[in-house]
Amino acid sequence: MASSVSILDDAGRLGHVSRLTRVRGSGWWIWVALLAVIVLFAIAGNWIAPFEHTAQEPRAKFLRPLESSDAGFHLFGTDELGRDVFSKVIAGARLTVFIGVAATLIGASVGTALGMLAGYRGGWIDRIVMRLTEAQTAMPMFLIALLLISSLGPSVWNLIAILPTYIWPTFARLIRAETIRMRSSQFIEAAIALGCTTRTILWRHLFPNLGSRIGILAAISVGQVILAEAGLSFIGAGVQSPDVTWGLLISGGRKYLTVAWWPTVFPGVFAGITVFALNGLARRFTDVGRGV
Amino acid sequence: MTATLIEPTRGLGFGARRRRSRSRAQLVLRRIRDGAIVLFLVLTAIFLLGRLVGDPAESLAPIDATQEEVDQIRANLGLDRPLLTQAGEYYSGLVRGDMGESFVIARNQDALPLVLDRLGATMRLTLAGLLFSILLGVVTGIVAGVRPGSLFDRVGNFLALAGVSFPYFWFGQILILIVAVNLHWVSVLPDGGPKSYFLPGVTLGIHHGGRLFQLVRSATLDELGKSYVIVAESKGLGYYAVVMKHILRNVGLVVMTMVGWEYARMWGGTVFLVEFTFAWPGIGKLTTDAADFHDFNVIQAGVVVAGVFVVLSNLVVDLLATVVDKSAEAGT
Amino acid sequence: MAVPLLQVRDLCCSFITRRGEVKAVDGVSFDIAEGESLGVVGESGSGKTMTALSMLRLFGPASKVRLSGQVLFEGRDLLRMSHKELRTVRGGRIGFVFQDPLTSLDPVVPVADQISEAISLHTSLGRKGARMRAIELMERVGLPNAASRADDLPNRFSGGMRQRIMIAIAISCNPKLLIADEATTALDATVQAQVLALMQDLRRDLGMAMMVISHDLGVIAAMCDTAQVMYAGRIAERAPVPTLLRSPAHPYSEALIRLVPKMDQMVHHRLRPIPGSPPSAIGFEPGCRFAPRCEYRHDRCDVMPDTRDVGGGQSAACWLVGTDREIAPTEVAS
Repeated sequence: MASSVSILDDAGRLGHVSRLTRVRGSGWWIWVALLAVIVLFAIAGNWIAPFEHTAQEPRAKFLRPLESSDAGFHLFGTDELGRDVFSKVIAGARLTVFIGVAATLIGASVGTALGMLAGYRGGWIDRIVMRLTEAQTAMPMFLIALLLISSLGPSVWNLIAILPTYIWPTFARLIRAETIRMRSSQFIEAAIALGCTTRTILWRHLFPNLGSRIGILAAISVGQVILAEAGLSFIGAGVQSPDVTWGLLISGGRKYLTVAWWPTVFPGVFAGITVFALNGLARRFTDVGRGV
Repeated sequence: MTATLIEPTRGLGFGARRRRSRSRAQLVLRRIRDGAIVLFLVLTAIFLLGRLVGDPAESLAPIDATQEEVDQIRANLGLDRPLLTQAGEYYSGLVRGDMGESFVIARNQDALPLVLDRLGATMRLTLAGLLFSILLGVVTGIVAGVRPGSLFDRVGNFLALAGVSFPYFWFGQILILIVAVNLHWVSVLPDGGPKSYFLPGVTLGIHHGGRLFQLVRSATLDELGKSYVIVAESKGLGYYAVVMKHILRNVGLVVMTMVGWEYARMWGGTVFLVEFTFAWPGIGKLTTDAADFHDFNVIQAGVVVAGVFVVLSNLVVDLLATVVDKSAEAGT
Repeated sequence: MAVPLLQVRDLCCSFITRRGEVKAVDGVSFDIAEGESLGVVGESGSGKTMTALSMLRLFGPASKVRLSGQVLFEGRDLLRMSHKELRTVRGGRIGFVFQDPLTSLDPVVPVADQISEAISLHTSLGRKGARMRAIELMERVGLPNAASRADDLPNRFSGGMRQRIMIAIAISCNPKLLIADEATTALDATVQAQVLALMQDLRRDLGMAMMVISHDLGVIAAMCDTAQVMYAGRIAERAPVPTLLRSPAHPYSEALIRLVPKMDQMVHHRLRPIPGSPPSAIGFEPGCRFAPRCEYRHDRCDVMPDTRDVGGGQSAACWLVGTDREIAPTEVAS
């Protein structure tokens, strides 16, 4: 061994799997920390925010970030009515996160149930569910939401009813594939052999094993919903004032963009970072799940 | 089958080819049939959602309107008749190209021509968006995929993740701020010149290009793991040659499909939001304007046209893939 | 005596993974003479495939591998030459046939192009010439109507035919050494026999040396002069094939040979599986790696035995070489 030389062969001057995983492996706690901050904003925003987000201060319009008014220090500056942008962003977290989580819960439940049913039963149920997911994916949902909101009138609850349509097909397809894969596995066959009812098998045996997949997809979906909600609120078909979400804040600052960028930029940064963190975290756990 | 058993080599020749060509035609027909079913489902969903959820007449009427006035509007929209009659009119209208009249934004004009007038503008914008998506996402995705873990890959991954995570219309705003307002490179308002496609195109490109990067990268990475790559290296091919001669050819079809799906996604919504952001005179702008006035028939016509394009884009991609993909022919 | 075509000295190969270093090949040394056919036999995971891949540094682009030792081929060390030089050896001087014919060929490139690719790399033949040669080779490996099928994609060919195409690629530049890694494992028994016969023919005609990797002693017996038994990344025994089959020197070889069903005794003969399973390649225990499963285990096995010469070209890494084997008192009850 003394005479042997160690050679690191990279077989064609390439990167390596190990380095790849290390890149992805590190830094996941940053995402968790970021999300924790956002959730904190959503839950305890009232106590954290330096100002009432609706408090106007006519003599302190369009203060730049880091400037102070008579009332105090404005981290993200103030808007056209002298309202503190930082406080508005914190206030926006609550409804944004609520809508994101609520719509995801609905979409995930519907999609998972349909996916498990289609995958477990197969046959015509499977064909119908699959055709439905195709049709749902082919819906121009943005304009359909516009159509519905225009008949229903904009409200948070209507949004929570519409937004799950963005995500349930993904759940249905993934869960169906997983169910089909697992149905042929031994523990399910054993359960069938033991005479378990279909409901027991689906609920007690399959569902717990789908947990991690559902969790990962749910994280991504919350991000998708936040983006969709932001888009609808941006064009005025979503949340209406005095409710406030990040999407609505981006929209509100739009008119004054040439005068002041900060009322538009900061809510977008928060929306983006939240979705980024959700996606980053989901990707990280996908890798762990694959055992890469 | 019998022929194959008796005379293996011949059987794989002529007879097999005839069987394959028929199966490919069948495949094409099946794709078209599936597309038609999906289109029917989409159009039906639009019809049902428009009528069963909420009351277009109520929202169209002024707030102080009397019940008679609301009923009058309902009659004008044809919403007072039984659902089946309405459905018959809806579908026959679709076939005839009659989707009712506009009430507010262009009083008494047919809704569909209003929408079709804007089709060109939207179409050109989607194509610009497609171009920028490909420029930003496809080649970079392949380069990152063949050099996993490299600096390029890591930076690309980060940027792509940011591109899909941040609201793209927000990126649009930032672009307007930087490029148009501060640098005066292009006008803020679309003037129809080639330059005016730049900002909205890039905005679409950031979002869809980011998605394409992720998809193409992982497709390329999958390809790298296949055993024909090591076989090619065992022949003495360098890595660059393996990529150019083998990996690109294999990834090509997948990439084409992915690009097509992203194009369909534009018609699914992103292009309309970008139109709104940039005041682009397309279907999205028209529809959002119509929504402000609850102009039901115009919105419905816009939704139908968008839905048709989503289904068509998906269908065209599927058909192209069926025709181009020689290796999928009559699977092994 | 002439210098052997290939001399492998103390070859080690390990993967760097998240859980640690996995030693796939651990200090392997052997020679292959000009025209010799060496069989490498062992269970899956014994390092026989990794030995062959390590020799040519053929790893996927996304894997991290640590190699050490020497692989002298025609006097040059393959582990230390530049990638450019190595590429002239791969496919040119050494041909490689892989296990799975269904995935080994690029699904979207016509088969003749896949063959001529190697030819144009290693010879001065032009495009036309390389194609002609590719069609010749297709005929040589027994594909009917080669000219008319040259532009077909791999999915038009059966598994056996694809493996013939793989062989055509491997021999396209008249290599001095052909490595066949489980080349017939995925094929039906009759097709397997045909492909083996083809490889024997080619070896005779082209005078090339061969390294046949298989878990099937039958294949080794049919194809090879010498056999080498691998266990847990090391060579357990090396011997001329008849010697190995008649009087294996290593307890593991003996157990392997016992596992081969014998047609004439089928009725009475009971197969005796080897108890236990091979050790994990992460963190081997010191001592002989076969010891935990060995019937003849004794105290000395706690120290790794070195390779000992038996005579007649046979050698084995076992303390009992040269002694009369006696079954240890702790025999596994059956």
